[in-house]
Amino acid sequence: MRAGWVAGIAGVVALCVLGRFGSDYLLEIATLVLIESIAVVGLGFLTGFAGRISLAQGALYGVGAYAAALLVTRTGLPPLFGLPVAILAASAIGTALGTPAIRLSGLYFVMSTIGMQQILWILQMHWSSLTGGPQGVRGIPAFSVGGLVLDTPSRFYFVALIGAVVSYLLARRVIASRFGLFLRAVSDDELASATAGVPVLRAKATALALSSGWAGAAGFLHAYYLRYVHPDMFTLDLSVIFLTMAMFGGYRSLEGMLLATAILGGASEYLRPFGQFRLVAYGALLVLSMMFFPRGLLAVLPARRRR
Amino acid sequence: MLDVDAVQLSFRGVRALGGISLELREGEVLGIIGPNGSGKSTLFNVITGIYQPDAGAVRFRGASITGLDPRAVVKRGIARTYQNKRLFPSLTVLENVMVPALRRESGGLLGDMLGLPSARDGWRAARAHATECLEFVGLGTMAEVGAGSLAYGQQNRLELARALALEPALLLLDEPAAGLTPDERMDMRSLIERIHARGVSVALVEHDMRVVMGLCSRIVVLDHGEVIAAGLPADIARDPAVIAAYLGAQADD
Repeated sequence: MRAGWVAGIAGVVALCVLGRFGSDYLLEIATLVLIESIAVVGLGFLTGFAGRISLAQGALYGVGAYAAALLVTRTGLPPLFGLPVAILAASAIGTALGTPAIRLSGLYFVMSTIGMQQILWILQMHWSSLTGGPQGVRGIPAFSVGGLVLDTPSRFYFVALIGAVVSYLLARRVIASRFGLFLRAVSDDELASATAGVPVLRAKATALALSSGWAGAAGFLHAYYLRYVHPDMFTLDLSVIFLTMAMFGGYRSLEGMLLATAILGGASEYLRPFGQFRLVAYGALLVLSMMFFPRGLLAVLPARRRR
Repeated sequence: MLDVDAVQLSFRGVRALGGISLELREGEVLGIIGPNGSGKSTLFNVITGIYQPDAGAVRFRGASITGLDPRAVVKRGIARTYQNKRLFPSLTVLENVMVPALRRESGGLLGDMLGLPSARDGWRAARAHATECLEFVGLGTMAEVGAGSLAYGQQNRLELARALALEPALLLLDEPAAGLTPDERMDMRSLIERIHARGVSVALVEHDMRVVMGLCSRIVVLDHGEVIAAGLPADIARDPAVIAAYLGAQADD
């Protein structure tokens, strides 16, 4: 436990040093990895703790990004107002579309999330009066808090770093809570959970709401990262990448998910010349990780299993 | 206390329960016996809301609980164990019992996330309650062990602790002594006696006649989804219909 805190603080210090001295190019990549880690940690509530696999996280990330982008460009409100709006929008849409399906068993739930992913993409692409359609949303201002404009890669990197750290710490709280324990029980045995007094459906719906909310928060940051949103940023490809990160990194290990996001997110940048074939590598990795370490990356390391 | 009234249930035309009626009185240990496939576990599943009966009613303390979902039945004060143990294998022994112990704590998720004092108090109270239940069944020293790595006899006792943490008025036990060594059976028997002594009424499905005869104040015998006898243990042991059902079942096996 104490060793974990030391490692965590050392990691944050290292990331701060990176933010101070890293090149702009490196910081752009690192910023994206930090933002994506938030969406992946959120997805972890479903994959690791509720035993449900979702392929809609990319679209919900998009909902958060669009909510932030539209709010700031249409109303001119300060950027930070967009954060609760992005979280609530993604959470509400994810819960509304996902809850009817959450009682379904594994495979059927996955299919329904693919449907959710496609519906949201189509809305982003074709509901032009709201979303700008294939034009996307341009003209997103630089992120600012109060009078402080965080427009350089280094400055915005620290915004993403704070976001990622808060996301991780809150997620830890959630998992250690009563609700987190209920979720783990439900993913072990739904019937026994009901007999032990656990509100099974409510627990799974809450996991979905949290997972979507985390995607929304990540999407919010993404909108200010590129300062431009377009439907093709939030396709099924992105959902596959998020799922690979969550599964590869950690069945029930937030730290594993962070590590996998860093490795795969970093690697993805260097695989960019391969274009579409990058996804082949992700698909293969997903299959291999399911075959050889279904419990995630950190489970392979010599154990000091769960706290 | 528990009133099962003409409960019928069929699975795809195969009759599992053919109009079963029985009564369990407050404070008693009722034995439910019968050959394999006679409907004992099915009856438990109907009482606890896992199956909906095709006809008939289940009443508990005067109120109908027919068709309630499993969690609602738990709230009325009925807890159960399963014949094929259904623990949470990825949780520790203590966490297995924390799940039911935390069910009453009212603090919301937001309170947990913000670390409010009320949430921490609730957690502490549940932990104390769960620990007490573990000590009661003799697993006090195993709290931090993974439930998946328990020996078979310990799994039975963990299931009992998990049910007790719900503080039930009525406990349904589905073959708690199955697969145990003779010594463990005697321990299980005295454990059930101690639970009963705490004022919990018990319905016990069990094959081991020494456990049943020693514990139960009354016995109901099922065969092919029907009640074929009910009465005091001594009378049941002499009942020709019961003897025939058991001898017949042995010949079938």
